[in-house]
Amino acid sequence: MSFASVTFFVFLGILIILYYALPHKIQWVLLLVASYVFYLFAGWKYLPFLVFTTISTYLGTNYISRNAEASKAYLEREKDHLSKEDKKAYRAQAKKRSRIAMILVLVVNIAILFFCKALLVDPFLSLAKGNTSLSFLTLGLPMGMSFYMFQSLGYLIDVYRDKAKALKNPFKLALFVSFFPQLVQGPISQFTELEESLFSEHAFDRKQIAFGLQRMLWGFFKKMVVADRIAVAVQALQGEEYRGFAFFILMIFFAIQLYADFSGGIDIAIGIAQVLGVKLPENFNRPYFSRNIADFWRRWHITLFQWMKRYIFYPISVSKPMLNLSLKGRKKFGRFGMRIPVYIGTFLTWMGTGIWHGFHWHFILWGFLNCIFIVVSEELTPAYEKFHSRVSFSNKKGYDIFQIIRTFLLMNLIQITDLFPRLSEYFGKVASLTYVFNFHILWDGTMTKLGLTGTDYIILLCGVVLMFAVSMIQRKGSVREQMLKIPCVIRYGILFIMIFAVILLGSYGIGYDASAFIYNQF
Amino acid sequence: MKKRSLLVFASLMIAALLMLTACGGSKEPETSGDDSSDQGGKLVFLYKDMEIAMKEDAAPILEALGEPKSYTEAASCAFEGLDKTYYYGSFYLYTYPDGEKDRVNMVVLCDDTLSTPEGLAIGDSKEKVESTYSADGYNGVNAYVYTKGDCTLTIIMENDKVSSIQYGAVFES
Amino acid sequence: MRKKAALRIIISVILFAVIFFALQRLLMPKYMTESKEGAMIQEYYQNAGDNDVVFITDCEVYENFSPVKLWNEYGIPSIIRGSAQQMIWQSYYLLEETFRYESPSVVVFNVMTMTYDSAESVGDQSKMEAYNRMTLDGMRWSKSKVSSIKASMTKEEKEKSGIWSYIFPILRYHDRWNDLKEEDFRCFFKQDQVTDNGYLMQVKVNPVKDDYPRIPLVSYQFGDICYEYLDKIRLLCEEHNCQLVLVKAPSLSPIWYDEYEIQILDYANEHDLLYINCLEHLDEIGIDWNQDTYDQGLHLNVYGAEKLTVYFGQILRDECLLQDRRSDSSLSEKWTEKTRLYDQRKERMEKERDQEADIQP
Repeated sequence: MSFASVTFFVFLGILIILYYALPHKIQWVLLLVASYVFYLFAGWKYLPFLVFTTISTYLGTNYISRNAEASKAYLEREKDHLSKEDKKAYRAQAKKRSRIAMILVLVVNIAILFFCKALLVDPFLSLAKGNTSLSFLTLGLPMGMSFYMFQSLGYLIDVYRDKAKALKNPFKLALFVSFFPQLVQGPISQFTELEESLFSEHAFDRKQIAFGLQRMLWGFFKKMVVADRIAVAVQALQGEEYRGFAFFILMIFFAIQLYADFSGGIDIAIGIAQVLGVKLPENFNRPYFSRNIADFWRRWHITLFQWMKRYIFYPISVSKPMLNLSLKGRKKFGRFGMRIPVYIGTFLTWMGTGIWHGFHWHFILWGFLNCIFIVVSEELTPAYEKFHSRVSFSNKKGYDIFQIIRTFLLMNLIQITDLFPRLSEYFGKVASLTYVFNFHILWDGTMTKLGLTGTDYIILLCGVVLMFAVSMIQRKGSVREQMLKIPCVIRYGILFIMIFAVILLGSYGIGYDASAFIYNQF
Repeated sequence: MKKRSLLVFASLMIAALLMLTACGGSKEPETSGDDSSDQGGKLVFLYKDMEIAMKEDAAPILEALGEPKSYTEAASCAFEGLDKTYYYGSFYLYTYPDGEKDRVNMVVLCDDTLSTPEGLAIGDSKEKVESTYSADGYNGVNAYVYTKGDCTLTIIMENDKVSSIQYGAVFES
Repeated sequence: MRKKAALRIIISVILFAVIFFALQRLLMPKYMTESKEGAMIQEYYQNAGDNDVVFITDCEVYENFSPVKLWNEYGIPSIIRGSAQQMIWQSYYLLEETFRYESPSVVVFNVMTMTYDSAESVGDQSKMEAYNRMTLDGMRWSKSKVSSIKASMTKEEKEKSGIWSYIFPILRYHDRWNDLKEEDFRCFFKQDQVTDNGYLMQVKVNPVKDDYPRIPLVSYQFGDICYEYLDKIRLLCEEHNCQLVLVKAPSLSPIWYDEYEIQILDYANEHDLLYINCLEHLDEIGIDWNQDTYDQGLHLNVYGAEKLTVYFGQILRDECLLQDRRSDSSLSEKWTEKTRLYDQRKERMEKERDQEADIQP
């Protein structure tokens, strides 16, 4: 059941009524039932995967927790009989058992994820067929698998690290894994962040519900009016004949589509959760205003990159062998050598993220490019600082804007790899930017052959301007809080216009290719 | 909490995994597309070295074929545009409207003066059909049906002889 | 404070509903000038009640039989519940609904419908969806409408919107704001009548030129689902003490094969039904293919339809024993008005036709 369907609204309506009408004690149970009903709509055949991840995480976390408790109790009981060495050895042994359990669960789950990505997504077959369509949209993975799996595995590692408690109630864990608003496309929550609001009781709070619904409305606007409308042109512009400036336009259009689609979906997810009193983490923070690529990744798909940092980058870069390597490197190559573990960590993190998106060479390239840009920009930071200390810009604002545009374009160059499973095609198109100057496509009628009419462009322009305006207003804090200050008639007027804009201008139903949310296939 | 419990844990995991494979086993790999369309080559009718492929723009074909011996047209209820039928003595050519254009919808061979590019004609035997195309297309009753890409070739049999040869456009359903 | 908030919510919900339904009404196609077939189903309700004969199925009835003529010749009140490419399950549910509005003595079912057993047999899927909308949107809400929608939806409809786009048609027509026409505003509250008791008049003359080819088919067997619904229609008629008459209208294309005829004859014999194949009585009816068709023999024009109606009326009178009800003054009054409108329409259309002919000699 898609969020953008009447069925979903009916489902949500019933849930909200029951949620606040029935005893608040059972709210979390209701959420669990609702999540499984939601998942079943996608087809029962995907359910075993979800259940398996839940059960294995439950077994793993509880084993680790009981093991830790038992060893603690044993040490307490036997503290007078054991030597210091014995205690240390016992502790190490207990930790080892926990580690084996954790690794076992990790390996099995990741193996399943890889197996599904490799077989169900079928990249090689699709490549062989010369499929040039949005590879995002052609995948056939169990719904939200990458998201719920990362969330569960993060929790497992947290329990192993003693940063989170193992849930004794398997159904509570089942809810954490399957909580339906975030099941489809994230955000990926950390257990400790979500625990409190997911399992506690929520009283009916009109303001929170109104805010949640407004957030959903904004998400639907971005997704249905902007992203789905521009999708047709993004598809068309991938044709072989569109090079040079046409490729540049594709980059801009794709940037709009990707942001409107993905952040719109996240707005809907966060909004739904808010209606139910649950607070999900933010996943975007005005990413197209970033000053550099590292900054961009602190503002785009935030929860995924926090996950990667927490569970891949840090463990690798501070592991014992890496620290040894750092020491050795420092001796041989100085500062650069000392940072070798960071480079390796960054490299592996980005490769992991690339592969997480799918087994395509272009995803690997995507990870690689990100890695290179980040490492280079990190390495150049001292040089920049030196440069700035000597040359001061009279126009600070101008320089800021330059940085923002530069980062935006560079990121587009990386993100657009998503569209080109054939790398040679991607490189060919990028190269064409330097020698094909076909600016005439703007006025020779090419733009109207992309499946969009003049009216479509006007709607898109209005949508993008609105998104930009909202981003600007956001700098001063919550847009919805600020809206509360304007007269109620105007506020209701704005909401009505937005609702009818989504209904009338949204791209949905027969005649439209109902494109699934781009990110729910990961 | 010694090795035994780790073993118990591991076996629980395996049991869960088995459950998964048992349930998930029914999941079919999601391949798409009609296999028969990947067999390479295509089904087209050749008339005096002119290719008449399904769903092609009919205008140049009609021009090359010249004046038909007879012509009929039919409107679909409530819609603009006409389905047209041209008769050229030895075959019928059907078109369907697609916006401004007419496209080839069907070609039906009428007598044994014409044959398919592969050499099959009306009156030929069952064996000839199977050796020219394949036995796979038999519908079990009275016809051989072969689909490749946009075209379905239908060969209708009567008393073990070919009684009708029809090329038809395939529409997605 | 609480009261104020509640009031605010109530007012905004009402306001929202008003705008929503007004927009929905505006955006739904009115079918007044193009694809008039789309307006026929909803016209029924204004003319329902007190009809002795109900014709169901597609263009082979709504362009070939004239209820006004039937009244004026035989005093038999009748109505056509036809729509473009009406599938047999749609005919069944329309009939089911009809019995809630009136109690006809005879139901006339055109058997060509037996050859359409699935969305595939219509060919183009987008057309099929459009036909579905034309038959279903106009129905009033009832169990029959829901069942008909469920039975009719194409695969794409099921996947993309399901029944919701029928409950809220704005979900289907939301992007029509770009092609609104004058009629969308003019007919916002009330639509014009495009038919005369379900009969869609045609006055043009386009003679039959050549024979339609009889291309051999792989199978002539009617689909199981068609038999299933024909049985249901028959039983429904029995339940309502109504005689089911099978008819094959005199349309030359699509071809009515002998193999079809045999199956229908068998069915009619088995269930003791009256079956009239008009193609076999063309001379008696008096059809002149140079004069009586507007599209080369696919359908009759008003001149042909009136001839066919006169012929068929005799059968209704003699075989189905329907009474002349012209002595019923209230009924007579209604039909006099219908006749006036019918004649007016005919005159106007003929005038338009002649003017057109003057422009394009």
